[in-house]
Amino acid sequence: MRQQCAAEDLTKWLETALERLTVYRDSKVIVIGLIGKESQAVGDAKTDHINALLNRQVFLSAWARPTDAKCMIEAYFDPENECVFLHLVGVHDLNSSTTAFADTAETGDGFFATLAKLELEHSKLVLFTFLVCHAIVFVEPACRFDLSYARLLRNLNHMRQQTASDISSALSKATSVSKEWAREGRLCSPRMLFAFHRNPLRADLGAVKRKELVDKLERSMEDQIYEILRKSRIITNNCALSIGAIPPNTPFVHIFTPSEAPRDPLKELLEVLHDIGEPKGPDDDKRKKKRIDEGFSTFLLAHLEEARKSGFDDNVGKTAPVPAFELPRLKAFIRGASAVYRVIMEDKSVASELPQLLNVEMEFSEARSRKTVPAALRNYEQDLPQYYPRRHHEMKLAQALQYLTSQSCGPKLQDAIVRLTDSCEAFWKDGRQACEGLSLTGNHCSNQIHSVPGEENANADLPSFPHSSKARYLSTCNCGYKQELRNDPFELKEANFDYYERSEFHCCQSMDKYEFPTFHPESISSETAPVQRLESEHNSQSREDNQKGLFRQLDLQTQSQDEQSGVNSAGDVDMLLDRDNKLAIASDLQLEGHESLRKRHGSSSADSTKNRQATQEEDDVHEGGSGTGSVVSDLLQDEAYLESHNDSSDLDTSTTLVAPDVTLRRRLRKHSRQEDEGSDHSGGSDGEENEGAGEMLSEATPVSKPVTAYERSPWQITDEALVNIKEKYKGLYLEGMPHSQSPSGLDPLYPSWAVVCVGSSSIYTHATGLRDMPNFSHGSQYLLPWDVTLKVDVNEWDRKMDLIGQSAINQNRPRRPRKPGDNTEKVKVFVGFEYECPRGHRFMLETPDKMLKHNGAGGPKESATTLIRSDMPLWFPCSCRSNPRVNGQLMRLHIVTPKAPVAVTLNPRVQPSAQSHLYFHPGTKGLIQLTWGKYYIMRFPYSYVGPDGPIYPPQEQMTAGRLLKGVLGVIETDL
Amino acid sequence: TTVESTASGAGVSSGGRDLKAGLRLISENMEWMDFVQDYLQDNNDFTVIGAIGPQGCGKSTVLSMIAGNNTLDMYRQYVFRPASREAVETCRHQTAGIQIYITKTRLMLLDCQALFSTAILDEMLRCEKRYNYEYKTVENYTEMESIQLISFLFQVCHTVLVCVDWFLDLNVIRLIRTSEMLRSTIHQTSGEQIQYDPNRPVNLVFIHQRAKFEEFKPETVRKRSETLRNLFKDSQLNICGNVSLGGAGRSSYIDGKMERINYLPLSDMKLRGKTADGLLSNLPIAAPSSSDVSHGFKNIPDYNSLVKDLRELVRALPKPAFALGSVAISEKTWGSYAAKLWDATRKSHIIADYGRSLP
Repeated sequence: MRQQCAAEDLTKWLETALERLTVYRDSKVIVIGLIGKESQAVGDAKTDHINALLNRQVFLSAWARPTDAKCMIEAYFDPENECVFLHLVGVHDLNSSTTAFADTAETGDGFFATLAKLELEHSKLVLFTFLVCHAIVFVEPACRFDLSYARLLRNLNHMRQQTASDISSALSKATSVSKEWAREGRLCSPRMLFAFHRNPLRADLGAVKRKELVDKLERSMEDQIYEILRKSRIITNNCALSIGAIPPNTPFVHIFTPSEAPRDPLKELLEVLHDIGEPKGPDDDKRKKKRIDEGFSTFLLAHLEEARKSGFDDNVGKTAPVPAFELPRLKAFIRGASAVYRVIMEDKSVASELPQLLNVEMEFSEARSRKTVPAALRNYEQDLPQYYPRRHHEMKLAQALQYLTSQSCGPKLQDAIVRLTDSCEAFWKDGRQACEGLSLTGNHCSNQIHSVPGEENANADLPSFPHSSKARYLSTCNCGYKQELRNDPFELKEANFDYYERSEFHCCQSMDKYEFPTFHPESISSETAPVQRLESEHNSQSREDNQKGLFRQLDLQTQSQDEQSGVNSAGDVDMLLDRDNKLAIASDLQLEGHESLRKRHGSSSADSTKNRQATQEEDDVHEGGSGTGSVVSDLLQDEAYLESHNDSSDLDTSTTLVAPDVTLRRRLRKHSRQEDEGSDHSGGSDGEENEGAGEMLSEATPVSKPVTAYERSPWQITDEALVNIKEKYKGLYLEGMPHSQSPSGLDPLYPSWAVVCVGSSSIYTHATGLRDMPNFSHGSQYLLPWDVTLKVDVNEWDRKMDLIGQSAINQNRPRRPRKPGDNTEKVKVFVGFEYECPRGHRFMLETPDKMLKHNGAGGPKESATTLIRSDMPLWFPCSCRSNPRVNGQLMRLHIVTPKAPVAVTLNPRVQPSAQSHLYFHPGTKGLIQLTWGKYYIMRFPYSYVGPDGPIYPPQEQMTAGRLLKGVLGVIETDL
Repeated sequence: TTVESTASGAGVSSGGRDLKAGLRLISENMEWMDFVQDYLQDNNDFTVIGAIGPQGCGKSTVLSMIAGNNTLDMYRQYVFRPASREAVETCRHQTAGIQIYITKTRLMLLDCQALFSTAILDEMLRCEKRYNYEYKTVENYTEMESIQLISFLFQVCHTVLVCVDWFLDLNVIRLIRTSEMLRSTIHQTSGEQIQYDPNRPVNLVFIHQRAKFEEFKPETVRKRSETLRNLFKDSQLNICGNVSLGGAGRSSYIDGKMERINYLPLSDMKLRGKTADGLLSNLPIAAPSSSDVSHGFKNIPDYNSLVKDLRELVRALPKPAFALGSVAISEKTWGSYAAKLWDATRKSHIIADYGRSLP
């Protein structure tokens, strides 16, 4: 029979030992367990001292073990001492824990989950060790008692009691096992011994002093351990009731001293080989050997001797019966231990109860979650509206999650978060989901989730009805005379067009309107529309009506006028005179203008420096310098304008950039010719306005009903038809509203802007301000005067003024005498930037950051120059006091044009969001021109929808967005 | 000299007195002590470093070294008094509660009592000190006390040093992880002006005291760093910060990423008056063998020079802001909030719940 050389895995040992150790099968054995912690530092190994005691390398280092199990027991029978050594490798061995936690990368388990698995395995083995050993040595790498043993031992005792009957019955079935052992379930209440490494004592001590201090430390630690194990009732007077026992009279604590550390012989040999030649104390090795003998071996052998002699009786006091103690024969031990091992590994109560005792953090975390998830769900369900959108759901969910994370924690928190999120989501989707539709003012549709009629890819399962946010706003018509409630719009067409076409607004419907370019399906033949446009005279004509931005009100006379202008200034964006101003000679003047331009062009191109000077001069002269200046710059930028201008003045061959110079030059010439003409019209006194009022009124009366192709406009047809048009002509029209990034050449289906002529300029009286316009903030219902100085051809100017005078102005008013050499004329425009809040409150701004509040007699004297020269806010805080505080939105620009041969140009560009450079414009191919002596109102879009969707008004009261400066300009015109 | 005196004069006028030695912040009865307020200034630039660890792992010593003590100082000159010889010889503890020391460079050092310490529990039992009977057992009480102290330190420190004397007590790691888990639940009452971030990343630095000669092998250090990284993989605590031999520029330990893990072994401290030779002769393994030399591993880095590196490395760690948002916190505010946080920690019903759930 071969002698066992090294320790083996317990299961294997239990299987083979009986056969292998036949000689010893009747030996009475003492079973010693080794439990503890082990770093991989030299001298820390739990088994080194056992190896030293046995004088051979029985227990190998972790790397040399044949198995890579993280938790295992190594068994070895020592025939010399008739001892079985059980060495537990477990969670506290660095090698095991390192491997286990390195595996987390694959398992995905967190710290506590990994620890839980390890500990369960480990604890089962510890329980087994406690059930089959006579003594257990706890080997600690540091010189202190680990308090966590208290919990471990308590748990083990609980489990021992739970499994007692199973173990007894298993033992009683095993052969050779004594009745006592079977009854008790264990050989004795195992004695617990403690061995500590790394004593903290100074290294520079003599041997005697060291011994003394080590003894003192050992006794101190024994006292501590005993006290604590007693107090926490791990050990009791009757050790039969306890998991283990502490000897009352024998030392049970051993402290290793550094020099006592045994050495691996092989390693030592290697070191000796390495260190050859290095000086070494002659009797070093001997001395060390001696110390080992008097150290741990002595300590352990004393206990072994006691066990063999008398057995352990660790009871305190005389009341408890003498505890069971048995030294089994080896064969009985092997059979009994196998039975116990099987029970421990397979027992149900071990599998169910032990994890609860061990995985405190996991159990706690789970228990907290069980309690807090329902509470968090109740938190979510509190104060919910009947239907609510995702945003609200997410907000409530975030609140609930915050509650959950403040009340719950640990490894199961993540599961709890998922559970709560799922529960809340399910709750919301169970008939509480609101429509996600967002109105153009940023409000949610308040309905249950639904589909919208006519919407593409509508969900058939959902009810179909339009959006509604239940919000209603008071809004004003195009001309500003009438206010009507409107529903919070969800559709751009409804917001910017349909509302203003309501039949209630008959005030505006009778007014002259500027026709913005829009898409007309009729004007496009189904084949190749864009090319054909120019071929057909009729088509081109009707198209130009739309494209050039004509007022729709056309009689025969204007039609001929149109043709004229179409020929003379094809594509030029100019405003056709409306019916009131339609003079027979207008076309002649226009022709003459072109003639003069042609004549003068030679000299101007020859003397380009003079030209530039003139431009400069004009800029200087113009009072509204920035306004006009920007008009010029706009002209420079406006390619369409330049091209068209080049068409009309084909003489201009140098560069396109000269074109505006030419125009200005032309104007300058006119100025110089009309040197002596007075500028009484531009004086713009209140008296004049008043005076003119009555006169103009009579003129305004014969307004005929607008006869237009109104009905054929696509925006006037039914929604269903519109859907058809949208499908049929997809790509040929512009979706939404024109803006700086929209593709050129496409027109929208409906205009988002409006320009109406309210009437003659005389209907505005500066002393009283606006009348009949509802809901204006008190003192804010005034326009502000804007004086514009123009350089003019004096004679031309005077002649045109005469023409105006014939039709419009009282001839009795003498013109202001003109100084010689003075070739400037001053005209006065009245301007008002009107804001309107959702409650229908209206106000004007005096400056970009101040509301107009005029008090007292006469109109305000402040000039509109600041307004003209500045960017104007798109939203401005309204003065209405009720909560929530709201903003007024720039909705109208009032312009009263002077009675002078000038046109006021409009170039509105609205930049609603400061974040992007995107701006919105009306989509005209150039500037909109307003003729003289009229009261115009430009109505801005109600909502702005850009390429990235709607731009919502700010929720808080604040100044935001802007109307870019340069919206107004004044140019001299022919009549 | 004039310039110097003016400078020091300005230092005094900026508020507070200078501390001679550690001051009680939390008493052995776990009560908050207000003494520290007198030493706090209106200064926003300060660093808070705490030290935790089992009994006898040199927490007080390493903090004293960071504060500026050196190995030539007498024990009584240390800002945190290490355990007395008598205490060591009877396995007793020195520090109780938390002690604080503030350096001239506004380094606030918090020395915490030993974690889960048998000695503290034993003393408590012997003195029949009252403990909270809510907990089933006495050792549960000690564990809860440790959890409260660590949780508190995680709330108020930029960096927490974990002093260990062997690698690696999983129970220490578990206590830290449990404290971390429970710390996140300490919530302030709403309405406070400054909201503390409960999940603020705290630097965790492992200081391995009295590491043995072999434990300095680059391969060993690398493996251990890896283990620490695995143990804290799912943690909010930040153990990557270059407080390591590699981070200290020891070339044998620079191997890519492992030097980022805050694991610094320190050799046994040289005793006063002892030479390096004397130290080496006391080690279990005497002189470095030639095989080690061939691995570029010649000598254990000198304790004093490593402590010097440690001082700099610890100061270079990131300092996560205490408050949510970008509110700067002054020392004084820190002081008053630390008091509140300690109170919140002591009263935290979740920590209490955890305590009751212990078997």
